[in-house]
Amino acid sequence: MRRASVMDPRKKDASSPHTPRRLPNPSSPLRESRPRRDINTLNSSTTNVSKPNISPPPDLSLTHLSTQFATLTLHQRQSFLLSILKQCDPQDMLYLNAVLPRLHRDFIRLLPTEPVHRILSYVHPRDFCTATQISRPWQHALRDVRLWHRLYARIGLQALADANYVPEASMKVNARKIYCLENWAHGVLRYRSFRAHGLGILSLAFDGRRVVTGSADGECKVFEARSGEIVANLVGHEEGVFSVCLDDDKAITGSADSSVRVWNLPSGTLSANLKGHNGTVTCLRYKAPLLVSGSSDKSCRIWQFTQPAAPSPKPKQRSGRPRSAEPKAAKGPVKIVPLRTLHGHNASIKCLDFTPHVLISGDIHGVVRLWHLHSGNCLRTLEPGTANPTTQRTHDPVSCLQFTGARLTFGTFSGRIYMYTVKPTSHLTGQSSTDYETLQKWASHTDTFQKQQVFMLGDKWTSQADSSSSRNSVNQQDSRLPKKSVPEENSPALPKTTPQPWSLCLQTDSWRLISGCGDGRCVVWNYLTGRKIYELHKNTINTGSGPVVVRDEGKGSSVEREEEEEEGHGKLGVTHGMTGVAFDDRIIVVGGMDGVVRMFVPQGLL
Amino acid sequence: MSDTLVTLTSQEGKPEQVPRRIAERSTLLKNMLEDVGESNQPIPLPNVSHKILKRVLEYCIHHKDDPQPPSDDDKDSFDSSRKRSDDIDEWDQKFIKGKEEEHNEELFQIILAANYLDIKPLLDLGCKTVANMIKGKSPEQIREMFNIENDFTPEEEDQIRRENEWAADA
Repeated sequence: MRRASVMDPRKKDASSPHTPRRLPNPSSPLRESRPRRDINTLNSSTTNVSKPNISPPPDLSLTHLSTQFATLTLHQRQSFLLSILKQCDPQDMLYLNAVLPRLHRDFIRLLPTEPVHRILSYVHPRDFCTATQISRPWQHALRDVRLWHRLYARIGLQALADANYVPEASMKVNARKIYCLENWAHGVLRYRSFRAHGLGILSLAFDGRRVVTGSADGECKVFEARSGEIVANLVGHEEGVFSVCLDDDKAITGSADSSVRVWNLPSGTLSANLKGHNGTVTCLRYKAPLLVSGSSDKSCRIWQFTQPAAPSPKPKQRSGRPRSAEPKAAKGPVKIVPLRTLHGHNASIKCLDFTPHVLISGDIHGVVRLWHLHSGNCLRTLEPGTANPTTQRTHDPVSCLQFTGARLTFGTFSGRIYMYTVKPTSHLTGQSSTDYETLQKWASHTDTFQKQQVFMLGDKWTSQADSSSSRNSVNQQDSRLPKKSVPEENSPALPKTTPQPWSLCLQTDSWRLISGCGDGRCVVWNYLTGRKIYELHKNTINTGSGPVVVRDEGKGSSVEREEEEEEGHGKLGVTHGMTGVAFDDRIIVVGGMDGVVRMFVPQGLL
Repeated sequence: MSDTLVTLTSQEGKPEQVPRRIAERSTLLKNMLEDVGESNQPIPLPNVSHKILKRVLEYCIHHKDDPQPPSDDDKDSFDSSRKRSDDIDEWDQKFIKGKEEEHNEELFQIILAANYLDIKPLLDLGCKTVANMIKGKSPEQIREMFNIENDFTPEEEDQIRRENEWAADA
């Protein structure tokens, strides 16, 4: 009985294929475990193979022997080898002596899976490309899905392993992808910057190729993200530009002069000037064919873009561009019709986003409203900031918001970022129009918006230890709730006199949440793990162990020095805010009140 | 309690006595000893040769005061610091190097034993060492180093090489 319990834990160690095999009963003498008859048969058939360097006559029994050998028990093998060695003459022994040290082990082929994966997890992805060329067993080991799960889990992205690892693709494609993600996850980034405006950048948008910035002086610029070269200057707004967005052939801007303007790209000519708002146009979203604008006049306006069926408009747009003297005629004019105006907010609207049927907007009283896009009726309101009694008196303005259909994320001036998972419904993304009642039922259901997490911009790195101890992401909500309430107590909402870590802008993708902060930081979370992974502040990256300054690779490399001097002169805190952040798999673009556009690219990406 | 001696029997049947707290660097032995409780029964380790057992114990004795590593689940799911293969301390480096001429064979056996006995830091040390041997080498160098037969046809080899050329920017 006792013996059995001794063996049990060993059997549990199933990660090693070597473990369970060859466990002779220790009480039996070694020699007796070998079936003597077998060995004798083998011996008799192989007496002439003792010389390893003997050249064929091809001997079938030799092949037979080598396959048999693998099936023997340890003791059978040992006896067999010994019996061969005993027949060796001195010359054979000399040969063995010379050869044995060189009989290296093929670690990847012969070790059990666990150590093999462990070894490979220490190998640089670049060397995966070499390793896959070694032999079939190596290639096989490198293609093991479990290895890739492990590699992704290591950077907190196990949930993305299946989506990202493509077994059919070449090793290079997969190695590069994980290398790039590793660099993203660990903040191994390269950096470029350029000065875009003399005054602060109030808004920024990025479409994967171009960056558009809106400045406090009313000017907007479109840049090539890679080179930082100016594509177009959009001149016309009379006051600061608080909102910008980009589409294929146009830029749309909203300003404190109450107008929304549509510009042709790359020419930079004005295509439309949309009037209607009675206050600063603070936010814009364009998803063809709809544009939604939000304003400090407490209303949202929905505009529809229609391009009359001019003969093959696309090629005409392209070819017609040089003849900018008559852009409208060349294009077939874009007609922009105001569809409706949404009233309901009791305060200035700061941010909005929409999917084909649902529009969500946030105001400076901390109220988030959901709207039925087609009827313009309100579906529901969310007021996360006032849920806590201590903040009821004052409001926590909602300053930025992203709604993807599956997730609603918004940031507030108190530096909290609320992430909700949205219960999927076909009504949300389907193209067919959905009636108000159906959507209203969906939106008002308590399960529809589940608060998944609250991120704190003000969190210091030390609090990371707390959140990491509650590592089970399923329980994240529970573990965070008490934590949330603590800072809530001692931070009266929006004391404008003390520097608050305002969340000014944010974006999420399949694993990251990045938010720009009023004090100049951009904080990057891996929301799959719930952990802050680093902070970007100007040209420094802080992964929790102190800021690391990265060299500016852009042509405007004097920007940071310039800035240090400026800071020496004691600028107001307001000049530090990061007002625009946008990113994709390849680049993070940040715009700030200092007029500088900063770009971060992971190592290993061109 | 932790000073009691534990007898381990190697593959060859040779007994080796070590203090219990040394043996407990091995998670396998630790669990076994916890299951068994007080017992003078020798523990058979039929997968570990005496020579390797001595080497493994040498490692365990040197690291007897190290904190127990976190369990693997924790470590792999949330490894915020990048996995580095070059942060090996000096003693470990010397230890794993062993005798030049037996290096690979012994390293292989140590990894096997560490895996079997579940001694994570030693397993890590062995695996990092192998990873370092691979680092930056050409396929031919790696094949020679580990005595690996190239079982690709020239056409296959050519194709794999072409589709896996890592551009120099990284």
